[in-house]
Amino acid sequence: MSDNRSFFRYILLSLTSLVFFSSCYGSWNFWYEGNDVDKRTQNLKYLTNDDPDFEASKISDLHGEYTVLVITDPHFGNKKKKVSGEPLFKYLDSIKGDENKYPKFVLSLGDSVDIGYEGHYKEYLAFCNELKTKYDIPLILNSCGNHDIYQSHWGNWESFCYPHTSFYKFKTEKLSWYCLDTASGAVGLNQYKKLMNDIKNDSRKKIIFTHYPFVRFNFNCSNMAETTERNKMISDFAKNNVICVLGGHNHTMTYDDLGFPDYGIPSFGYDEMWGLLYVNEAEGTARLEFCE
Amino acid sequence: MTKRFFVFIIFLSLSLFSMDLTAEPLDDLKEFLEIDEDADVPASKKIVWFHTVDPEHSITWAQSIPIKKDLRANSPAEQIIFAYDAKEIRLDAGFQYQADQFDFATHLFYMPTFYDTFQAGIGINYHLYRYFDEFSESDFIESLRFRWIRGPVFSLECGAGYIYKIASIDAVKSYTNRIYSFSYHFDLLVNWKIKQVFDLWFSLKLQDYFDYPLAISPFYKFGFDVKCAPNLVLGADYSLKYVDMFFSAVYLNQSVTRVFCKVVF
Repeated sequence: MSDNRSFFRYILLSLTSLVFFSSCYGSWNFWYEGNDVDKRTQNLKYLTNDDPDFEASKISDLHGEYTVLVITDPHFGNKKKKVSGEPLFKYLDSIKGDENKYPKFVLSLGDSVDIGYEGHYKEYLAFCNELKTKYDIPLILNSCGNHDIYQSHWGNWESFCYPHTSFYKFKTEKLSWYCLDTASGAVGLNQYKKLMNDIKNDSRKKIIFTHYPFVRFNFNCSNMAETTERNKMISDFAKNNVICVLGGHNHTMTYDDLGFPDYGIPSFGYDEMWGLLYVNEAEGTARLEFCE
Repeated sequence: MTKRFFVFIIFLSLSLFSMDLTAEPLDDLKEFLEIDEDADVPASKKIVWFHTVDPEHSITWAQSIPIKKDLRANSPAEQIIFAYDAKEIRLDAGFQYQADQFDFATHLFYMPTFYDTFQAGIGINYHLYRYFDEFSESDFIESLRFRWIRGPVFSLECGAGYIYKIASIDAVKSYTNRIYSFSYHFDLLVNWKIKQVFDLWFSLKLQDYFDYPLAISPFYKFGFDVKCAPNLVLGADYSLKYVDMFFSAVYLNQSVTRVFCKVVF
């Protein structure tokens, strides 16, 4: 009997551990609800020239052919791997003056910081500031990643990362750009409905950028786990003029043809890689080149 | 914080409750539970590979109602499940229908009984899912399984393995015919059968009977059923589905309550 009871206690201990250590960053994520994607995405914000930073960037005037720098998963504040901006800065130096290549703005696809502490965000902001002041990048548009809001640090992301909302859109001459919040590993029904309501009423060609990847053809447990949501959204994208989807999170370089290109950009922090998105507004195309 | 704290309290309470139930039965408890120690039970030292004495057949009808909706559980769903249970071999097949979706799932478990104490074996599972006019999915699960039976009251069953998912999205078929995913499967069920008429159970699953997300998005389920007549069982359960519980901040994607009626013959 005592053996049986010991065995049962062992099972209970394992179960309890499973609940408590249910996140790679500890049990505390289990207790917080402030990180709920439904709460973060109550409205789709439309960035226009009413916003002084957006107006100064002149993104809404972009037309013809231009490039956009895409970085993801730098994980500023990570103790194991200190992030270095140097490889990117050298690359930008090398293409300075090349109008066809030099980026007009930056998309940062999330996991900008490792755990979400204010100190981590300050490191990230120093990097962004260097891009703006030394490399004439007018604006960095952020997606929210799962690491950014660990330990209920959504408030820090909201305060420090432009445009201070994780669910937004903006327009260039002929394209609409949408940022989705997938920091909880799911889009959620509310965000999905708001997004589809907007997308279906917008006849322009569209570019979607977010943190979690939609598709990865490999062994996985870190993709969009809810595949009904994934499949339905891919179907909706294909029916509604989406020309490109950009994601990060997996730290792997991938490309899938879903009728539109679906790019997975490797980690800026770990892999020291980034992407250069070549946009042609007249033709309505967007093609990504992986760089290092 | 309150909702998750509530889930934790339920989990803890069930754990403590199970500790009491698995304690050594007292004589009056034996009588209460109608345990007959002189019954002609199988020898405790043998391995039963398979026997078909009095297999149980059942048909279950269930109605599920989403409390917190997602795209998967967007409307009430109706289920019918046929099951054959010969202890060492269990087989079932079921259908689920809701406004815009249809599911078919079937399971086969082969688990020999060892020393009248535990069962171990394998399980295979196939699931077909059609979201009308949008996409189809097929899921295959293979798992190693274990069940520990402690007296007439308590049982614990778990399985671990892999899931292979093949999705085909109508709108992008001409570009990418199939999307393949390969991920983990895990399930755990603890069951307390009280006085042979009342079942109380808790389960943790990475894939549910008709819902097959990729790991690690667990379903936490609590349920009970009551044997109302010799061949009739009525019950209800409640499930919480958390998406990507390991890598992201925890998000409750879906919660569903279900009532069911089982006819045993």
